[in-house]
Amino acid sequence: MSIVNRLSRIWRNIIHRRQVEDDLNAELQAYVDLAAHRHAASGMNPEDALRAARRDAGGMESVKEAVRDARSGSLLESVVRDFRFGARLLARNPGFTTAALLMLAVGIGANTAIFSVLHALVLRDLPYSEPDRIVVIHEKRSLEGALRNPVSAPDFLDWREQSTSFENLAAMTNIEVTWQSEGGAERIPAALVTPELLDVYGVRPAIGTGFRSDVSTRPSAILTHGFWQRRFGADPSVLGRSMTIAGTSIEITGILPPGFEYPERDVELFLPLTWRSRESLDRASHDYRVAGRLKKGVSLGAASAEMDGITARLEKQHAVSKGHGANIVPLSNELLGPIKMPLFVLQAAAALVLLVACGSLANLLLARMLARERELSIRLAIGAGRGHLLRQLLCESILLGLAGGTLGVVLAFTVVPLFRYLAPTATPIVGATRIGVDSTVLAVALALSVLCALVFGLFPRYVGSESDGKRDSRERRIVRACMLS
Amino acid sequence: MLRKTSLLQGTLDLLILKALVSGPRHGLAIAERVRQMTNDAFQVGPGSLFPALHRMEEAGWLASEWGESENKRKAKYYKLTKAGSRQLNSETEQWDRISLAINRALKTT
Repeated sequence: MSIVNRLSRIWRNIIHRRQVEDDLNAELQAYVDLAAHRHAASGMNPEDALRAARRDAGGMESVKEAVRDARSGSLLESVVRDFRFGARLLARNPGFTTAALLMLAVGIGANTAIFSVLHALVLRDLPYSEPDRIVVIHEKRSLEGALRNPVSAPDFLDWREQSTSFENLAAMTNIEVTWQSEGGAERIPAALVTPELLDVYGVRPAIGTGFRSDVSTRPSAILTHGFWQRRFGADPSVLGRSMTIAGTSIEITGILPPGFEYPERDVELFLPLTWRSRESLDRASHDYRVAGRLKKGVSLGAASAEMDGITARLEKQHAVSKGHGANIVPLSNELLGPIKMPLFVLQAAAALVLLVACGSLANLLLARMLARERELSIRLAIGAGRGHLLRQLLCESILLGLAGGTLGVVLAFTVVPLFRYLAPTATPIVGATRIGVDSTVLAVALALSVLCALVFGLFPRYVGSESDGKRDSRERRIVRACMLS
Repeated sequence: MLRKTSLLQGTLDLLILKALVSGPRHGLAIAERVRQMTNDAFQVGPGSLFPALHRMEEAGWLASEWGESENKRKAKYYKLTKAGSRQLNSETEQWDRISLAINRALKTT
């Protein structure tokens, strides 16, 4: 049979199912009538003829079933029918269905919500170019046990001069500046950064060129995307215009792309960090954070070894640097270290909760199965195949799982924006704006729903297949008969 | 529900096609004719007959039509299509080949 023929057959069998069924019923009824007619005609008395006809008619249900199975698209039609039947059954038991849906919604919703955070922050790469090469360098004071001290300007400059492991090194610090806007003077958070910072992160301004090369004599400012949208109406003509910062007129030379959130989320603009005279800098004044990009092929260990050598030299040269070393930390550790483990633990806890929910659901379903023994044994008696019965029960479970999962996702949708809002702006939780129920998270939620459905749908089967051996209680027998295919 | 082996199903198809060579018949008449042709060896019940008829109709070998039967009621009549005729020929050939081969195999010592 050609594909077209087959498809049109399937179409007819499913869409015009009622006509097809009526047609079959009429055909079989005619068969029975004719059989009775022939029995009567061959000399049987009318009663026997009727009895014979009834006997023939008795098997008609299984005949219909056999014909349906032989039809094209019968599997598809059967599965669709199973789903509809399952849906009706669930609707007829509102108490059970509500309880089950609630359990699933909470379980799947919690997992989805936590996973969306995990996915946005931990499982994806940091939103920078080649993020595994970006490191943060702290000052290490082993004698005092401090590992994350800020760095002084002279040290930074010496490191930058003497090290060969890094493509670039940059220093930064946070300040608040007074901005004289049309609306008056206001204090806005800004970051003072050495010009290489953008290269360390591999970020180019979306509009404009970045800091000018003569930045020490003519300072320029780079705006963050959010600041530009909020306060300048995303107007590209601000490039080249000047802002009055701390009484000085500073030209705007760049707008950063959206999504670049460093060092903190509330930094509005970047101003150039320069030092006029090196001699006037105080090595004891530790004000800056340092970040760098490792050269290709240079490992963290090699860079650390080199830095140890440099700091040892500096220790000898400057009394004030006694006991100061360098601690190189990969950026992901720096930003995510403290939250990785708690997040994983949270996810595991949510998964356990879901498992428990599935366990109780499986129990509920098993109890319901026992209540339905009469219905199921009748259906077995009139010829429903065991495999078919099992498939039907599975359809019901899948419906429950998907419905519960959908509710759970809806729940997650309401909760997740809250997470995003609550992520503190002071600590650099980079990627927090990425937290959302996106396609990956939805796919995971879907998979979870189906998995749950299979777990609590098949669990009664597993239970039923273990037989006592000695004494089969009536219930066990029925359950086994229904569950085993 | 007994699952028919493919050999038996093929045989049933062959017999049904043959039964319709002499003209259209309704289900009961087809079963009756098969019984007649095989000298009571094959008594096809409705559980095997109707699935086969519907399957063969979907395959395009039979065409069905409602008509009046001997008890003045409507019944569904099946007739052989051109494709069905061709199928009958090819299945007959195949059957000949198979039975020849099996006979030969059974005769060897």
